Amino acid sequence: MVPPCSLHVPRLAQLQEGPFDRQDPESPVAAAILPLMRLGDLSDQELLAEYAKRSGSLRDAVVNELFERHYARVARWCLRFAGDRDAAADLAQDVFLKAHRHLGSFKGASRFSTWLYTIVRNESLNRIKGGQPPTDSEDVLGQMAALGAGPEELAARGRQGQRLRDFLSTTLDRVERTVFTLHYGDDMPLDAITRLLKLDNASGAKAYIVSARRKLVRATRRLRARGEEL
Amino acid sequence: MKSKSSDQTVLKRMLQATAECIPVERFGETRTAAENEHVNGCARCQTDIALWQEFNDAAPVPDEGAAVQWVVAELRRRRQAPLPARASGGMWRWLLPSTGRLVTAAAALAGVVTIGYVMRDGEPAVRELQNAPQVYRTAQVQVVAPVGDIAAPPRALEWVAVSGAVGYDVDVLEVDGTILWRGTSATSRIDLPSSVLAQLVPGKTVLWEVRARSASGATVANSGTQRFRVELKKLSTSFR
Repeated sequence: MVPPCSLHVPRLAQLQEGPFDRQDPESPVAAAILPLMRLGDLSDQELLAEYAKRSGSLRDAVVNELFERHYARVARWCLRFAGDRDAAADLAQDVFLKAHRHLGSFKGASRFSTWLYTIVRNESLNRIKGGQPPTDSEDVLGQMAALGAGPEELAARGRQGQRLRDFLSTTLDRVERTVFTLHYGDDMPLDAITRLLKLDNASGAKAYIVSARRKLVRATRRLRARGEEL
Repeated sequence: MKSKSSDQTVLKRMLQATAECIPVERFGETRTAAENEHVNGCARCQTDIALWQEFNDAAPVPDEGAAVQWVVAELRRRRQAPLPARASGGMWRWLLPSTGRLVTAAAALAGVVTIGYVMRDGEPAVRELQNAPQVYRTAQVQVVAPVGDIAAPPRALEWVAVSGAVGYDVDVLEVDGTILWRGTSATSRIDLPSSVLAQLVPGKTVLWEVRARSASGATVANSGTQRFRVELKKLSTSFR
């Protein structure tokens, strides 16, 4: 069942006092007009404006409508990230909990869906932090370190981060870069990356990590052959 | 000798966002040339933008739809579930930190709810707007179709011609306000292009709006936001 977003329809005789946007939001006339507006007609931004002006059951109805229209999007992400329905439902519930807690502080600097995305992403990555860092049978980093300057040495230099980013950008294709960054930068498990990026090849993100490793090793060798380092 | 975990820690630090990276709030906006140059060379930005695009992409992958509907149904069920005696704080009291609790106990009930939900329809009815809010719109374009749940994707949008209008501007939008397509028409009808038709998948709610324009270019009437959705085919077979 979906909660009602269109509430009791009041007598039109109440609505003769003036335009809606000049009404006191708590006045009986404004309270009567809101149900008439049918919340489903309002954009996300308009719903957020109504949320700021309302209280009680009207405010709940606004939140219901706003969240309801983003349920599927959040559910889809959570399902891809978590990999099973129960965990996805728990993650999605926590996302909307956080969104509800902080809705009043959302100032409309971005689309509501983008704001919601930041919550989804952070909640997802927070779940990873409690687990183990990614491990691979392919020791990508060890091979890179053995062939060129090691990451620790690189870290000691002023521009090493940018050089590595440039190196990744020029060596790897778009999907390889994305998989590499998510796996090593965010500790995201390969199966979650496979689902989130909708990778439909047989071995999913794993294949891209292997491919990225080969390319990086070859590129590092070429650098060394030219007497250069990362 | 460096350890593998040490290497990973250093690399992880290198792959984090920097001050030059585009903040997520700006992902949907037009970027400057300097920002584009940065994005083109920044694996972090490219990754975050790719994920954001996946989040916004409404297209489910094969076999995903039923599971997504299950999660949505579960969210609705939890929202409407009877409250513990100590809970308080309005109808959104259901939003308590979950993290694994109640899942096992709710599984059987959720299964029953979900099966019933999917077999019934799986989506709430999209309400038509015959009693739309006339009171706050001084001049309205009366729409003809499509509105509400419809059996097949519409080939065109139609409305009643407005006296004095010389043309009409039409927007087709996602439910979050993202514009899918914009068009103009000199008549009271506009055909939808194939790019829009391809997005009218069953179960997806789409919004549209038409504005009547006078010879001076002023908007003289507005339909307000209309919504329609191609109905999902109802499941008539039982699970075997």
